[in-house]
Amino acid sequence: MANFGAGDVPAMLAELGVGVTLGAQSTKGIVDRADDRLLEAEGGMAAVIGRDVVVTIQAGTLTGLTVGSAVTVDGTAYRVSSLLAIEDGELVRFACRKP
Amino acid sequence: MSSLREQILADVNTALNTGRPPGVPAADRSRADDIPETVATAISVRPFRERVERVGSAKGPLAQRQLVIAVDCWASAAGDQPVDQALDPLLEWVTKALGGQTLAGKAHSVEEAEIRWDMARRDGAYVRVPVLVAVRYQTLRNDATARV
Repeated sequence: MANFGAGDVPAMLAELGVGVTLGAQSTKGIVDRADDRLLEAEGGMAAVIGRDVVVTIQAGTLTGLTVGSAVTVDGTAYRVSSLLAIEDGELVRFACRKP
Repeated sequence: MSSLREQILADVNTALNTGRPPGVPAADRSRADDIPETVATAISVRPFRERVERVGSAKGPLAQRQLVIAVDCWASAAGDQPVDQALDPLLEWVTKALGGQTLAGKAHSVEEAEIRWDMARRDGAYVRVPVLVAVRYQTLRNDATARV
């Protein structure tokens, strides 16, 4: 039995996604980018600013995608630093780091 | 005149900014602004805590103080380099600049007391290391500006 809403995923990604490639394979993914204050000094003073880059794709569209894979997201090269199955395994969300 | 504590903090900041080797950033005092992603390394000096003991009896005129100063060192790194390696030159410099100092006689001793590593990952890797430096000095019990 298909997961609830699974039929809507390809259309959603086609509408909102950007190009994501792994080697010769390509798909569409939704990218979330957000800056974050990290490692704040005790007392609430200075922190360092880091950027979260998280991509959501349909599961199974990039065969062999794993932690450490070299990917290109909307033209920018990254490495996968974390990979999680979400939405009952229908989607995969991975975090990116600069290579 | 400012307190001996403030003079010591200023002297520690000055020591860290005197004769810095290439690649070690200038230290600033009690940095309040965030460190943008474009800055690879940073150093900031701030008071952390101070313990005070009366010398002699309860009516003794002297206060023995141990001021712990935090020298916060930050670094970021991309690629496969372990991010803590990026801080090694900064930590080496803190040890060299402050170890064994007396700050022109203001302090009895200046010694590193503790170093702790905190790390985080986003699209790069980030590390903050507060180096806690213990400074022993003495004042009159009722006058923080008086070096005795």
